Amino acid sequence: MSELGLVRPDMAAIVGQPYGVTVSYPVTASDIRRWAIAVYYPEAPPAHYLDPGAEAAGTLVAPLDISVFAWAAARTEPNAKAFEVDPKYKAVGAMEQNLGVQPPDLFRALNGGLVVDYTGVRIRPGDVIRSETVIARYQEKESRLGAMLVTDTATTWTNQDGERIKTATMSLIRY
Amino acid sequence: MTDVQTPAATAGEFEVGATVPPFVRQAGLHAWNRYAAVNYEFVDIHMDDEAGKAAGMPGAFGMGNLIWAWMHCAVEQWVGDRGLLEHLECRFKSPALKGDRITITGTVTGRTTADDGSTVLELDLWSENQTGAKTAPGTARVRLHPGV
Repeated sequence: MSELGLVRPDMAAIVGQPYGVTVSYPVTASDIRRWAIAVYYPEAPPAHYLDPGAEAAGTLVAPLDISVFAWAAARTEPNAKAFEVDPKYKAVGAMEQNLGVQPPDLFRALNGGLVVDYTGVRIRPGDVIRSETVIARYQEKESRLGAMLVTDTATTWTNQDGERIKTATMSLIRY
Repeated sequence: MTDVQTPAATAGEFEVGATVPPFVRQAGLHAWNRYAAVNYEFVDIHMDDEAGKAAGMPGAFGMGNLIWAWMHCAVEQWVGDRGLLEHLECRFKSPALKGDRITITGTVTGRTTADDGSTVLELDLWSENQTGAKTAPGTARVRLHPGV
């Protein structure tokens, strides 16, 4: 057991194991244009997003922050370890159940922040993106709200050629 | 229309101490609904004042993800095709409320030259509201292409 008793041995054992493997539908030029228009509203996005010749010329690339899984995914790889938990765990973002482990009994949560690293490989029309997540790290902290568990989950996107596009890390604070 | 000229950096534009040109947007349902539509983020707290109040806010409030998107826009509008955002991180301290004037800006805090001749900029980058309160402080790293 960890120092503050929040990280059980079975939780520590799932750090680094992949879960949530999801594959996108092929990205379309419209997906890219709509995302750019929405985030730049009410002004127009940079002209290259709207250039009708960009797709054919191979110069249309997606905004870095685009989500290609927002509305639907083409495929989610089955995970035999996953099991259903009470919705009160899901409500605070628990993910341990995806790796066959009971989440900790912590039912308040805060978003501890976002970190992303981009490789320079861009998303283009026709790309099929694969997403995979791991629990990167557990940390325990004492605060005025009591003992807190900080869980860093790292999600990596790769394209159909196996090129890494980005790794985004979210810190979930449960207490 | 597909050829893009890379403009030269103007004097001081990418030096330590330089300001990231402000990217300013008004928070509210017009922006939130458009973002919800592309990100499938139809969550009551971002659509309904009563849900926002139940969450302890004065009313409906904006998505952290949209602030995150605007931080990307600020860097993209500044750097354009002269370089690429390599790293961004931020903490969401307080959400945007209806009518807030949100400004994304920042400063260049470091500048180094990599072995390949590219220039690496370290930035403080943040979101602030009309009172000047930093609602999402962060940092970023941008790599400018060689010759910029």
